[in-house]
Amino acid sequence: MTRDEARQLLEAARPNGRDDADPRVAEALRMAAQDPELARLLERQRALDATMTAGMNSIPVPADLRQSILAGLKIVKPHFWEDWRTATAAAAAAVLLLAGGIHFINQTTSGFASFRRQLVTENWAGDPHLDLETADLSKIRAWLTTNGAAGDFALPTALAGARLHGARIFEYENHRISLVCLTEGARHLHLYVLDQAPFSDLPPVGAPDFEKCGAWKTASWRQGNTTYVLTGMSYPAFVSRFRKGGRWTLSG
Amino acid sequence: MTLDPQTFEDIVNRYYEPLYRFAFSLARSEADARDLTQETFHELAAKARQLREVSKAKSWLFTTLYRAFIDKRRRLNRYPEVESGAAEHELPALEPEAPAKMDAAAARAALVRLDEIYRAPLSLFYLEDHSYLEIAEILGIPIGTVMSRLSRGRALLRELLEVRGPKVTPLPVATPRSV
Repeated sequence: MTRDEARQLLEAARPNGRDDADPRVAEALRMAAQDPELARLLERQRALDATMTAGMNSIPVPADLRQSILAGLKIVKPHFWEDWRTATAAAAAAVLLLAGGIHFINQTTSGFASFRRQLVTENWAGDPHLDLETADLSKIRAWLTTNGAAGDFALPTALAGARLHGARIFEYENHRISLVCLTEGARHLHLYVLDQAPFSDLPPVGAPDFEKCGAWKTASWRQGNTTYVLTGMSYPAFVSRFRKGGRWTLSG
Repeated sequence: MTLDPQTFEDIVNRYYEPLYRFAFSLARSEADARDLTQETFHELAAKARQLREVSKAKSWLFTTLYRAFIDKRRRLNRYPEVESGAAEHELPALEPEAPAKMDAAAARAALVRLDEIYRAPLSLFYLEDHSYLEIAEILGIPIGTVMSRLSRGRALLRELLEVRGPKVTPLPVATPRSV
């Protein structure tokens, strides 16, 4: 083995001596023991690896991450039709549900659900998407109110650390909808606020309604006469941020 | 195969920390690292049957997380909103009073300054005993590329750490966009 080959092997060896048992690495190590230049190289390499390994393993992990992962997940069981005992019952139920299902679909493809889908997908496609650009929440509120949109909304406490970018107003059947744009880390979030929304199928009060609109995940909820739609986040992150002590903390 | 709740929890317990650290080294943001980690376990719960053996969980998790990071970065490039310094405040705080900890903090700070093509393999190299072959599989690149990126990445790290010594601080990140 040449000195150059030994150098390459020592440089490629994994941290903490995990490759030391490899015969070629072992030979390179023996050469390093006799060769001051290789010994210096090895010492530098090991110092770097020890520092980096310590650095990577000391990245602080959020204390509640494990609980958030476990709380937000359910393991998907095998599909029920894979169990023969339920298959027969499911087939019979499917026949009964078919007629009612058509009626249900007719009811749910209009109203808030379709409005939300249209609002979110069209808005995310827009560029640039803001009429007012400011990080000042009071200016955003004033601008929205002055222009006849919902400005007196409760910014969720879970978004208190997010960075505001501005706002926009949408028109829908003579109704004005506020959009507040935020970022958190590199996440780009949109919060839509509707006052007195003209729909009969509004989301529930006190708990979010999750719906995927195109490529975007949304969580919608209602407080009093105000309806909120948040998009741009992941569902696990939403659950971990907006659910505390077994309760939803959605607005304010 | 299916995962029973206890096996799933065992996998979470074993891997959530290294996965989060890998995610943080990629995304350079606590919020994004958290999202990536949670989404990865969400995928595992939803697609447990794709996992042929529990022993493959480690590779599956790291591969899934890396793909999620790449997908998000590609999608978010349509809406670039983060300024170069925006992620800076989310980097772990340095603790100057302890020399040993300072070395670790300097190492992290040096790593996040590197381009992602070096950052990803280096993170895996220093986490969880990943071999060259595992790194190649997770990142979807040839093993020779892994070796050359690791070699170059380690040289860059050495340069950053040895030139600046323990005074390295988390400067603005190298690229303006992250997940």
